[in-house]
Amino acid sequence: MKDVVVIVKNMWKYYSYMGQRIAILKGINATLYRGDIACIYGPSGAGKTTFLKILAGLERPDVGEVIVEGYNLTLLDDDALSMLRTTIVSYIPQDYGLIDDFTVYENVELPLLVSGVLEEERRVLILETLRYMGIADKMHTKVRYLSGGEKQRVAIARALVVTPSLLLADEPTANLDWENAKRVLELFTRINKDFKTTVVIVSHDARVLEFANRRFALYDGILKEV
Amino acid sequence: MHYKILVKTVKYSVTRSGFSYVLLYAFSLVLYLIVCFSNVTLLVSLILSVIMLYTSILSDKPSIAQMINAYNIVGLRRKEVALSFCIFTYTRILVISIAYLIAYPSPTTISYFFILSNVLVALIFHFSFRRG
Repeated sequence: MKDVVVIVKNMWKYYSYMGQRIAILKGINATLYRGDIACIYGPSGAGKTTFLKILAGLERPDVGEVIVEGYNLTLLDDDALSMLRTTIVSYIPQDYGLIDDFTVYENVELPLLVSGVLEEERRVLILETLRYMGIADKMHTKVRYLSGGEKQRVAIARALVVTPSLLLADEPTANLDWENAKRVLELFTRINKDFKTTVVIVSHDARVLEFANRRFALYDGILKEV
Repeated sequence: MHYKILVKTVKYSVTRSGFSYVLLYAFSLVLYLIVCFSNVTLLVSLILSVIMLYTSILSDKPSIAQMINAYNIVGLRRKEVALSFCIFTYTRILVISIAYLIAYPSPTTISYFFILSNVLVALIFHFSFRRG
């Protein structure tokens, strides 16, 4: 029997715009299993990022339930959601969410500092992760001097260093040429195989779909598995 | 929150461009208060200091946004993120208060500086705990 990681039940999310309530996600239902690489494909403005942010606990749904690794996100307070982001879920935003003036090491160190990992253990974990990502030689370089592909790798390294069971990537290929994008997507596949991490990739690029074993389409706030 | 995050935040505040403006302002403030000291000067300088602080924060808005975004993503709690922003700002207030302390070492400025520096140190130490 497959191990369930994410359950989304009848999830609705609304935004207020010019005094009107607009539904951005409409009754979404989905189940993701351990080891899945799910790709959510859809045009810009379809609600992909909002969906991912809800899974990461950065936003809350208005209606419905989101259960990640047995934790019902709708019932958790802000502190518990933050705790979830240091242990179970890692989110990689489209703009990488890195601090440009911190070095690669400092950026990757942040989640470990938050989780209270001791210095010696931190150093070992960071070095292992950076070697795995192939950016160990850039360890002391400030992020602002890196290329887009390298920044993406640093963002993945930061997400991976806490060995999450759910890795969420928002448009990981949007700022890259296809060659670099392919390398990043292959990296997600490798992470998925090596760590049994469930990976959710959101993209408007249909070419990303070939790297996924679960494919979803999100159009006008409605999610369908294809 | 780990003390290293707070120390990094102080370092980050000091290395942003807005801090250079605060430093230049603090230097001018010392001269201004020493050369033309009066109660009106003091009052005007206090208003200017608030504006300067606000300007320096505004000039570093993208950096602050980047910091808050990164802290949020890695799982820092909301109040810890708010604390980081306070530390970022307090570092600059401290520089301005040092300028007052040099130019106008009255009991008021000394006590203000004393309280502010203590608040800063207390915040760093008090919130430097390991989550568990």
